[in-house]
Amino acid sequence: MDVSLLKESLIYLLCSAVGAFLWAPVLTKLLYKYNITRRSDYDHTLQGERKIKTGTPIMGGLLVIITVTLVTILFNWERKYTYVPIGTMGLAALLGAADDILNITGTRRRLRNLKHTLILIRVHKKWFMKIWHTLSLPWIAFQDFTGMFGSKQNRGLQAHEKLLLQFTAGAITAWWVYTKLGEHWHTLQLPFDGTISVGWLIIPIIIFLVMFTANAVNVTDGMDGLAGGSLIITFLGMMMLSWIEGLTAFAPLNATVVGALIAYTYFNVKPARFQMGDVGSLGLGALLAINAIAIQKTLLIPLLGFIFYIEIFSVILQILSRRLFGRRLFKMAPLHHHFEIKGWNEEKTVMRFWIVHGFAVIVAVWLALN
Amino acid sequence: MLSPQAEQMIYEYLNLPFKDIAGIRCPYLNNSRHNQRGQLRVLVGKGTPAEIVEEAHIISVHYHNGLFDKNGNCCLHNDHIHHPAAVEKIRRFLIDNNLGIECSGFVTQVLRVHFQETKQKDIVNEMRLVNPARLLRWLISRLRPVENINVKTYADSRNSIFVIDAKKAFDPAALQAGDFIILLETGPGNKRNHIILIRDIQKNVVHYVHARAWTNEGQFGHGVSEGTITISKPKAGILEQTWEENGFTGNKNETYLEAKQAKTFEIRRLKA
Repeated sequence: MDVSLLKESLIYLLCSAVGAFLWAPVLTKLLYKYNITRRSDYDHTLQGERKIKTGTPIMGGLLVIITVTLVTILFNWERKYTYVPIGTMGLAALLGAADDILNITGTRRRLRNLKHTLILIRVHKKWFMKIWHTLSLPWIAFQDFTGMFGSKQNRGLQAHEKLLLQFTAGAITAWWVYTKLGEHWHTLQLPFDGTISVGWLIIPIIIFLVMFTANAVNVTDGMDGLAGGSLIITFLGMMMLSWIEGLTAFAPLNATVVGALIAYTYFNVKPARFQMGDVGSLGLGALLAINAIAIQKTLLIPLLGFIFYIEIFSVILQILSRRLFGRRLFKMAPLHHHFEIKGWNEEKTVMRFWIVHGFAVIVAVWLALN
Repeated sequence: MLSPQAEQMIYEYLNLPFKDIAGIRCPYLNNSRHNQRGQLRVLVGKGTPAEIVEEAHIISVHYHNGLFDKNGNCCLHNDHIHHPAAVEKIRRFLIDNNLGIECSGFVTQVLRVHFQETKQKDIVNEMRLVNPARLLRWLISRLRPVENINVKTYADSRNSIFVIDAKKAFDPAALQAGDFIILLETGPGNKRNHIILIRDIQKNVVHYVHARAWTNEGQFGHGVSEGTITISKPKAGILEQTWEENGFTGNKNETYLEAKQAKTFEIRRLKA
């Protein structure tokens, strides 16, 4: 193992952390200035004990996204390797930023559902409107279906729009990886022994993992410090793995993310100075997925992002149980809210989740070493 | 008498099992007004008392209503929790958050327990709910049977048998606990269906229980309720007898009024 690579990575980590700490107050000031804060007029969860979170700036994830992007572009910019992770993160973060801003400034929207569309097709007087509504049926059906997984808020981007944009981001990344980059990106390393080349299948794998992981981190970001702390553990694990593998571009990249996340989490622990927002959670979730693919640890993603996947599976299972059987599986989903309702306080839940997640990442590293 | 567990369930509907606080009668909830689809069964008026209580806790904690703490304890002052004011406040909370039970949901939950205990059968699996030719609806009804049972399901001759003709002389001996009174096309405009569960039969008195909302009880007075039919005219039909509920008899007893208005009035028994 190359100690100089580790040293270099640690320097990236320290530089990024110091840089992020230095401009964090500027970001906070800007977020306050433009009133990008949680407000009770659009966030119905700000009641009771949570009222103290009213006025906390969101989009704090910009601290990580911008720091990582700048440090990487300035000192670690390699077309074959770091282009893609930063590009994917940027696309996902842009989508998240749009959602965050529209949540605050956007107007309420009323979407037509499938039932109304079918009625319109039947009763509309104009034949061309009937054709138009008939043609729009698949889109409305898609919108209704994805709406089951959304949070039912009528501001910001809706679930179907988010999924479509995430798919586009994933598809652009996958196309770039498959057509422009080398064979390095087309192989999956199996635990214990061997690698397999997946060829063009890397395209759907990337699209799925980017979308799924971005949303997984997004749903985990519901308690102060939870997503930030867990992401530090994940990227630390990936930094170690890339160092062990001698990946000169990815060890510093992961280290840069860890450094920026340390600064972010410092300000995000309860009571949070700012919160990640979709800009951070979607961006870092996409980065997690693409970095794991890049360091050829795709099959270890379930362990590297353990707590995020547990959280998103709890949401999926809860929705399925609710829709299919009419019963709750958990008292509330994502899982951290289940424990919150069971009586665990926020700090206890967050720290226990960090510990469980840390354990899973250690297992992932151990598996990778074998 | 119904089985002990069924009686216990009725008791729990009449006194929802909130921790350390008694006397909260389960409100009435009919989903046709809220038109929830694919929702939790407790939110469409088909839940058990335990589910209703759990949902109330979750809503209270999640939306920080301050009614219950995370351990399910009532947050109203301890020395007041047996006070009617606390009971009233919690009932209002349940109604405001669409928690309650509707008539067929109530009968299903009680009879389900009754038949499980007495005949080791789950009635919801035995009942014919939807024609299998309607594949999707049939599949949904198999996944969520309780939500797909309504008054007409009970009135269906494939699920229940006719016991007593309302117009003939009423003989309580022909009844047994677990029979039910079906009222089809009743209420204002003859638009409603209703079901009443016969709980116990004593010499001249039939005890019934049901989930209902009377018009004179306003927004917060409705819920699961008990009543009796006393044989005052032995040779007359059931509608000629004395129906008493909540201290009201005659036309002031809206259950009786609805029974009179119903286009179809039958006493039936499950085939299970």
